Amino acid sequence: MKGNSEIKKGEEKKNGDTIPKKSHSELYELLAGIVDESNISDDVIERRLYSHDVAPLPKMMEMGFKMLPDVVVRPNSASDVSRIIKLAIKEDIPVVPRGGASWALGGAVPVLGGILLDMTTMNKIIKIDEENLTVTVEPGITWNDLKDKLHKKGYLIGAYPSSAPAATVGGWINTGGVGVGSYKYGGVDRQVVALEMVLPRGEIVTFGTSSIKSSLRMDNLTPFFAGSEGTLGIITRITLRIYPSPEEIRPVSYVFPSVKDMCEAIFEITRSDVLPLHISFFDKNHFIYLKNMGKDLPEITAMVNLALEGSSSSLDVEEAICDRIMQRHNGEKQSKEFSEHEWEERFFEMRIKRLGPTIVLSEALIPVSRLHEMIKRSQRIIKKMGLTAAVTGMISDRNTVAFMPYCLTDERKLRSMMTMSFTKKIGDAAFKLGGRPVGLGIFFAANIKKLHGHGADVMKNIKSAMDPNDIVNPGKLTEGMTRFGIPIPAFGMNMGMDMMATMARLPGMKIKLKMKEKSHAAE
Amino acid sequence: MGNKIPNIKDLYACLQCGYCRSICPVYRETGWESLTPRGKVYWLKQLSAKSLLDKLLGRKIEITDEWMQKLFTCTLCCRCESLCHVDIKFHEFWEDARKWLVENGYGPPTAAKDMYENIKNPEFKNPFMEPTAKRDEWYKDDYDLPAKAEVVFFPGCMTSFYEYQVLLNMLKIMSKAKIDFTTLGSDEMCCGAINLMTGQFDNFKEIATYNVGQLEKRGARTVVTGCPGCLRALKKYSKYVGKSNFEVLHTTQMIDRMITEGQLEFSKDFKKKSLPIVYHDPCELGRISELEGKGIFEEPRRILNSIPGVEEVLDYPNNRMNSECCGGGGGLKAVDYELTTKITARKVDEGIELEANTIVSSCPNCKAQISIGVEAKKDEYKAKGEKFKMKVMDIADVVAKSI
Repeated sequence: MKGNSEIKKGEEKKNGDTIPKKSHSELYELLAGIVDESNISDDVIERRLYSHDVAPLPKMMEMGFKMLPDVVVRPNSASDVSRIIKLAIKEDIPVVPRGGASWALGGAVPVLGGILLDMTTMNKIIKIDEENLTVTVEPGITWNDLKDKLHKKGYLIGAYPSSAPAATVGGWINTGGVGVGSYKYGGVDRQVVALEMVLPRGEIVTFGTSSIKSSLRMDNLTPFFAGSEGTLGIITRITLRIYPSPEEIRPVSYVFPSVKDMCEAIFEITRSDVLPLHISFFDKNHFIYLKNMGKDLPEITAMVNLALEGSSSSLDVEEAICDRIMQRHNGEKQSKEFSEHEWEERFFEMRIKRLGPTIVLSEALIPVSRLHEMIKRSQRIIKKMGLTAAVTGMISDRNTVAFMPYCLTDERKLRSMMTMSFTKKIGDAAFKLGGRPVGLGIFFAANIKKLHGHGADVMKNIKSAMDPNDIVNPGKLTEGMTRFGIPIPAFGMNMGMDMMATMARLPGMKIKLKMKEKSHAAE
Repeated sequence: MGNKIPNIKDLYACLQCGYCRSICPVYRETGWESLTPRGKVYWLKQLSAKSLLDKLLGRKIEITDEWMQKLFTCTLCCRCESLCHVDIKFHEFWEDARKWLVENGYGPPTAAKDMYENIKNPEFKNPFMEPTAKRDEWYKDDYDLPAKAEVVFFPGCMTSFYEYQVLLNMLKIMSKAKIDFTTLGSDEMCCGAINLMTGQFDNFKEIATYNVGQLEKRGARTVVTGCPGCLRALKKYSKYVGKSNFEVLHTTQMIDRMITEGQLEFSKDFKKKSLPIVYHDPCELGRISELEGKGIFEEPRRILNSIPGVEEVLDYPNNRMNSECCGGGGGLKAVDYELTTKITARKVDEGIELEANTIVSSCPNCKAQISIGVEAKKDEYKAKGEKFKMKVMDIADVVAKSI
């Protein structure tokens, strides 16, 4: 018994309470031949809890998408997953893998119902290989858990998402994420050296090698699966690079009198000798919102947080270089306590949600050289649409900014739908500056054509070659799809989003959130 | 649905980030979303936003018996509050949600209803159907307690009926320190903590009035209890019956005072082979008391460190504000006993990993629960033909042994 009484057959008495007998769906019964019944649920409330991620989608969405899975299953091994996929092919029903469900683009949200695979049951560390500096894990372990356990053994994980307490290793690989540590160690694709996958026909296959470094050719397809949003198979085992723990991780924060200064300072850091573990930035509004929540903060126009990593003596040198660069651009160094607090807060960037209470997150990748232009454009969009929004982000490598603005709204008001177009507008701005939106998920699947032109057709061909039955996470990435199996045409989705953005600008459409301290849309 | 769902702001503020999942002891043992804080919050939000649209779309948004049981499947350890991205005050939130359910005619689970009735019954005045006379039969012949005293010791039901060793040890300590004290004897009534945690608030005021009356009758200036559940409930009395004439202390605060003021002298060393000690922070004494004003973290550690023979007091890897529940909280035992034993097993395993020989807490529920875990571990070892030893003690037990 796994503590969930509803899945036991027959009537039972538990501490005096009678639990009524339940009849199960046919699919449930078939799955019960594969995994223990304590790992299956077709309870409607339970299923509803697996029908979403962090994005609060309007109920209306269900007219177009069947987000409610038919059944939730928690596999314990690759062979469980393989058998489930084979069953799904036979029954012609989708399989959707899910990790921590901490993304906002619906990668783990069904659009055609089906079997939801909750991968968090597979959450063990299989091996820490100190000889080859790798760790082999199951996909459902959270990044925080892995990070902490490695830390105890004297190792560091290269990069992890800022949602590490909830995000799973398998999940983040599927979003192709960049996160804390990516500036120094690269995105998640650079961390993975081997993958065990259950492919969409049910075969269990291993890619890459966990001992000696593979070259990036056809003999190592691991990078190919990073960012595939669960559409090319289910990851069941991962081998990641690990690094010896540094003597010190030293956070340093700088405050700037203007966004322009901040952007120039960031640019210069990316052209310097220092290689911080992490670089993140925030605009004025972010801090105004935090102040509105009663947080005790000084007046901040723009801020950069750096985390330096290495031996303490080398960090002294790096810190001095950073100080010089930042000062050149009018950056004012903050106290050690403040910087350390900011570093601790790296997992809590969404505290401001309480003000909304709804938050719409966007993410785009843009060149570092265009950061100031991007911020200016975003602020124009924010002003035009009359949004309550702030700009944050991190530098993911010497040339790339993971630009992450957010917008606060109130989902209880119908017109808050309009703010969804904010994400679209940010994506458009990114395109114009030589960047692109991150993550396609359900809504922005249509962008793939825009991103890759005919390359998108190749991707679609790969998907259909690997998954001819369209079983594994259909309706994502290569093709947005509604519950009726009708693909969302790119121009339709884009036009809809543009219309919403226009409507958001109409008088009376703006949502004003009550705040004591007013934010400023533009510098 | 009658009353409005409480804390709607929190329902909407919730990010569904799932950080709470990573530290929830119930989720850790069960693995289903419906048993996570975020899953419970999500469903409450769905219930609060129920509209015609749900009907049109065929979305079944309702309170089922099973879901009610799930809302009660929680130790109320409130560790979720310590990691909440948007600062939801879960130590109030869960109680409010249960209260709302009960007021609307759902639940609580049968065992919780029974406990409520037993407390109401003048033959018991406790949740466990124990006769009132049993409360003081352990000590009434050995201690001639006065009718009135400065200090009134309020042992609580768990200590009075099951962990009476803790009770006897506390009496020994207070006598040794020459404290002018008494108890409510067989007049004591359950503090009402069970009523608060199971959503059965309606007669809490009556309970408070009764106990305050009894305490004042005895001229109490200080009320001391060893049970963190009682401690929190007693502190809430003033909200229901107005300001009373006494302060409420936990036994560890009292003993700590006695030691600093030189009222208590130790004469015996702590048994060497029972060392080292690991201290477990009870959720209600530490984290939740901190969330309600002031947590008691250092007093128990100071006491243990002053015991002769004790050189070092170990900490669990997650301690103080991050302390992990022993499994005995929130009335979960009455809803899913088996689940609580799984949670406890982890606590014992961690003690073994630390190579501790004694687990000390300062809560009778923790002592009882961890003892169950140790017994289970003994059986486990026995089946393998091995022996397992681990002492489980309350702070009062440790202190009493050294005086």
